Order: sequence, then structure tokens, then C-alpha cells
Amino acid sequence: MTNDAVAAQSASPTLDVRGLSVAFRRRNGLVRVVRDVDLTLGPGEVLGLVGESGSGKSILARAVLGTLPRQAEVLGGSIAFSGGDLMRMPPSQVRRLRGDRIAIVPQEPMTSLNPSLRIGRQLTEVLEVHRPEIRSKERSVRAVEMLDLVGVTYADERLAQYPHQLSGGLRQRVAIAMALICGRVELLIADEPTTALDVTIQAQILDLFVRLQKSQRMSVLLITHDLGVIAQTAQRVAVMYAGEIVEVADVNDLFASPRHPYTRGLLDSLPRSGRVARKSHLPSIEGSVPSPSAAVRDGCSFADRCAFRIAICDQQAPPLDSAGLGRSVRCHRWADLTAGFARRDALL
Amino acid sequence: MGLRKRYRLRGVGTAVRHITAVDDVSIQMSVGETVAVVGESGCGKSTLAKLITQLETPDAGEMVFDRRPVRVRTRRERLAFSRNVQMVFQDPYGSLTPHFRVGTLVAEPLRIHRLETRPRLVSRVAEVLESVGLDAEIAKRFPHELSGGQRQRVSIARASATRPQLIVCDEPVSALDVSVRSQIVNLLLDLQRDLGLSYLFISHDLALVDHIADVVCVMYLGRIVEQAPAREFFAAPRHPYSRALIASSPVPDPRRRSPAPAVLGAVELGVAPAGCRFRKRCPLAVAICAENDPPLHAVAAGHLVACHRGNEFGVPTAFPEQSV
Repeated sequence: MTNDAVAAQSASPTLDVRGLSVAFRRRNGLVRVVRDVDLTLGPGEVLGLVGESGSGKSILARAVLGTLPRQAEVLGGSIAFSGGDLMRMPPSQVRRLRGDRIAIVPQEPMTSLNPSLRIGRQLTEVLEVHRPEIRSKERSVRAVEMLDLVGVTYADERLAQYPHQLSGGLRQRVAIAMALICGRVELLIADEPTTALDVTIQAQILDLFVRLQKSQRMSVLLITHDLGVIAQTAQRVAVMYAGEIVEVADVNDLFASPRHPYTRGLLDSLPRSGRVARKSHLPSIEGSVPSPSAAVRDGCSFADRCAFRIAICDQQAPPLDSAGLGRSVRCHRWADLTAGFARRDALL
Repeated sequence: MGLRKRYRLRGVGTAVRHITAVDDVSIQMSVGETVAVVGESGCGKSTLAKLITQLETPDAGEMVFDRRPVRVRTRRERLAFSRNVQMVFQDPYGSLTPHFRVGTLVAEPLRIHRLETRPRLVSRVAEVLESVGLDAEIAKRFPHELSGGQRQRVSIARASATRPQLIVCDEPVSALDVSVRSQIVNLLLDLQRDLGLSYLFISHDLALVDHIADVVCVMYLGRIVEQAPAREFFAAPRHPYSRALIASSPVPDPRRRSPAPAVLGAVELGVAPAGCRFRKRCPLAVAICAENDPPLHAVAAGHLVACHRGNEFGVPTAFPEQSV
């Protein structure tokens, strides 16, 4: 574990999610999409949240933002943010935090920006709502400064443009500028912020994130399905599967020695030159990602796809076990598998 | 003359503008070979796929398949061609007709090409489904009842049912969950080995391309800017754009964090500048790049590059550091 990560955890956390469960109301009952999630994000930390479709990662983010869809219901848990519990605050108070001290950068800047408003108006509106003490002339100046900061060229001319006149990369930069313009962001939630972008643009945006995170001293919750993006950006990683956190670790530890069979399977399945011969079979995880509406099975939610399943995996749900400094794993067999994995890695 | 395709841009104004999506592209493929086409959105790779499968008609250029010029003017000619050249699309949700059962979907190419008599159709469909790792029972289901990975297997079953020689795969795994991608990659590799298939593999995932391709073509604004055997391409890419693509691909290894990105700005679609079309984003551009459009020329056996400075980079060297 890096010194940064240790320091980040020892200070009081920016965000502390405890036992959060969220369900969707459906005709045939409740579908639990986030199940008993604990998550801590320290000041100035970049936490990567990895998961596939339906793993609950975006719903978790929306719970923190207080923007859960109407059919969602929080079954329990708390979300502590700088002393208060977001779950128990009146909605008006959460709204005041959102866009000010908690901000989001969404996946699709085309749908998150208002297509009928000029860029300048969208940026200054955030200030109007959250910083009414700033005078209107000064707001435009602030908007230009912000666009400069996120690397938008010809910033003063851009204020008069509409979102459709910008490229995808520029739109995402504008969305980042909107998230940060109040200048008081403590927690930035980035939900697949580069998934819609080309790789060269993705690299530019990720680089921008890392620089801004340091200069603005924010905590970032980076949600993505892309393990490459996680490896390049995050300090700590939480892996979600079927609504549960199955592994949490420092980024170096996770990639060097994944302990949950799911994490391990995901990492092994990535084509990486030098690790498997060209055109040979890639290791793969059998089966497919469970649909959130499928009945929750007894025992471990990954058991039916797991190559290491034993009898207990079908009977008891494994707890999220502490597995060393800053690590936790939700697997009955992590301790005995770790030894076996280590032997295999030594051969590679 | 290579393949060329221009599209007319529909606008509100009076001036008619065209965009050349594919501009003088030449590709050769051998039996059993995988040629990967990489590049970012708008580079023309999907248009190239449609030209090769004859879903679009080129404005210029010609294609030779199996030593004969490709002609699809009559229904009979089109059938003969499409039996041998099939396509797998990116989105397994949009590419399967939702109100047909899987069995009907897989039987369709067999019926159209009259490859099977009606009594044998059901058992042949079952064989094809099993060849892509699906249970024959799935024939009774509808696409919406299947997972993304299963749907893509059905698409591959449809494409391979006619025993084609070439399958054009347009981003076949990028819409799938990470944990099922490698299953589909393995299936494509198995089919290639068993049926002697050639693949034109369109992808933006360079790590995947490195794993499965024999030859890599890099496209930029409608042109091929580099073409090389895969091993050589990844060991010593020559074009600054290829090098930027490789440098920008996030490596799933935190010990290898890459420095600041290597290219500036973004592609301006449809506006190729005079001279080299990459020069405005290129960290290595010099005076000549603004004057002449560099031709695609050989720098080693089978290794072509369209860059005035392409000869300078025989061995991998670091890019000059850039800030965004």
C-alpha cells in the first residue's frame, strides 16, 4: 500500500458508505440492486469502482448524489459526507450540496448538457444557484477561467456556442468545468467519464482528471468497467459484482495479486502481449453476468461462474473479510486460493 | 486506385459539401488471415467494412475476391458473393430482428442461399448453434431472452452458417461485458482454425488486435496511414498517429502508468488539411508536412507508412513530452 493511501485512510474520510442497500420496486416484488455496500473514500483519494453492467455501480453513485430513480428504494444504510448523513438530510439540503461540494461528471456529455443553452449560460447557471454572491459580470470571467483550466481552447468564444458545436472530448471538458466551477468540490463522482470517447481523447481527459484532482485536492469516485482506465488512474479499487462489493484493495495490490476469483478471472481474461501466445485461447469466466432481476441465489453470488466453487459456496453467503492491510475480499476460499495463485504467478 | 467512398453532407445551407469517408484504400488478405483495421471514430473503418461486404457501393476502386473481380449487379451475383463474405456487427441488441426466434434467425442464411432442404434445416440449425457454443434448445427463444454474449454467438452463427471465406467483424466484442469478451474472442479463434476463415477485424482495442491480428492497418481520416505485420507494428510503429494510439491505450497495469498523452486536440471530421492530414495533431510535424501529402510507402517488407518522417523511427523511441 502506498503512503498516500495509508494517509488518506487514516484521516477522517470524505465519504463513508455503510451497509447501503437499494432495491427497485417491480410488479413481482423488490429487486435488490445494491446489497449491503461499505465504501470509504479518503480526502484527496481516487477510488476506482469497477463492475460490469447490472453490478449496481451506477445506482450506488446515484444514491450518493441523491438522484436515485423514482422506483428505487433505499432499504438501509448510511452515507456520511463531511459529518452529515446524506440519507437522512432533507432533499433541499442534498440539492444544495450537489453541484457545489459534490459534483458529477457523467458518461454522455451530449445528454447531460442542455442542447438548447449556450455553453456560457450553462456554466454561469451553476454559479447563480450555488454562489449567488458572485456578480453576473464576474460569473462569465469565472466561466472562461474554468474552461481554460480544463484545456478548452478559445474559451471566450466557446461561451456563445451550443453543445452540438463541440466535439465529444470538448463536451466532456465542458462537463468537467461545470462540475468544478463552484471551486468547492470535495467529492467528484465520475461515471464512465471516458467510455464514449476515442482513446487519444480518453488519455487527454484522464490526464486532466489526475492533474485537477491534485490541484483541487478533491476525492474522486471513478466508476468504470475498463480495468486499463482503473490501473492508469485510481489509487484504490473496489470491485462490484451483482450488487455487492467483492474486493477492495490498493491498486498495485489488486493488479499484482487479485484475491477474489472474479477479479482474478477478469484480469486474466484481458489480452496482454507476453502473457499468452498470440491467437491462443484467452482465459475466460464461464457463463454471463447475472441480470439484476434474477432471483438472488443462496450462498455466494459468483458461485455459479466460479472455477473454485465448493459445497459451502452454495450454502452460505461469504462475508467481506479483511485480507491484509487495506484489503478485503468476499470469498470463502480467499486464504487457501491466495497461496495457490501465488505459486502459479511465480511460474509466469 | 484503391477503394473510395464519398458521402454528401445534408445541411441547411446551399453549398453542397462532401466527406470522403474512405480515400484510396488498398488491402490484401490471404486465406486464414486476420487483418485488423484500427482507428478512432470517423476514420472510415466502418465505411470500409460496408464497402468490402458490398453493403455500400464504392465511388472508385475495385475489389478482387478469389481471383475474380467482385460484381454484385444481379441478385444471383450478390447471393454468390454474400455467401462467401459475411459480417458480424458490434451491437448484438440491434442486429438481430427481435420478433424472430433464434432458430429462424440462424436458418435464414441457409434458406436464402438454398444450402439446406427443409427437412434437414432443423438439424443443421442445431449443428450451427452447437458450433458456436450454444445449446440447440436456444433455437426456440427470442433475442431479448438472451444475454449479450449469447446474442453475439447467434450473430456469429448466422455469419458462419454459409461457410464463408471472409467474415468482416465490426467491433464484435466492444458492446459486451468484460467478463464475456474473451469467450467470444476464443470462439472467433476456434472458428478461424476449424473453417479456415479470414477476418477483417475492425476494432479500437489495440491489446485485442495485438492478440488476434496477423496484419494491422491504421486508418486516419479515410486513409490507411500505416500497415504492417502485427508483431512488427507493435514492436516498432512508424507513424506518429500509430504511436499515439498505442501510447494512449490504457494498460491494465498500474506499474506502467503512461506519461501525458502524445497528440494534441481531436480529429476535425471531414476536414483534411493540405499536406499530411495528421499534421495539425502531430508532435513531430515539420515544414514539408504542410506542403506534400505523404504517400503510403514501404519502409520494410510488408510495412507501409504514410509519413514524411516514417523512416526515422525504425526503433521505438520516446515521444517528446507534450502538455494538453
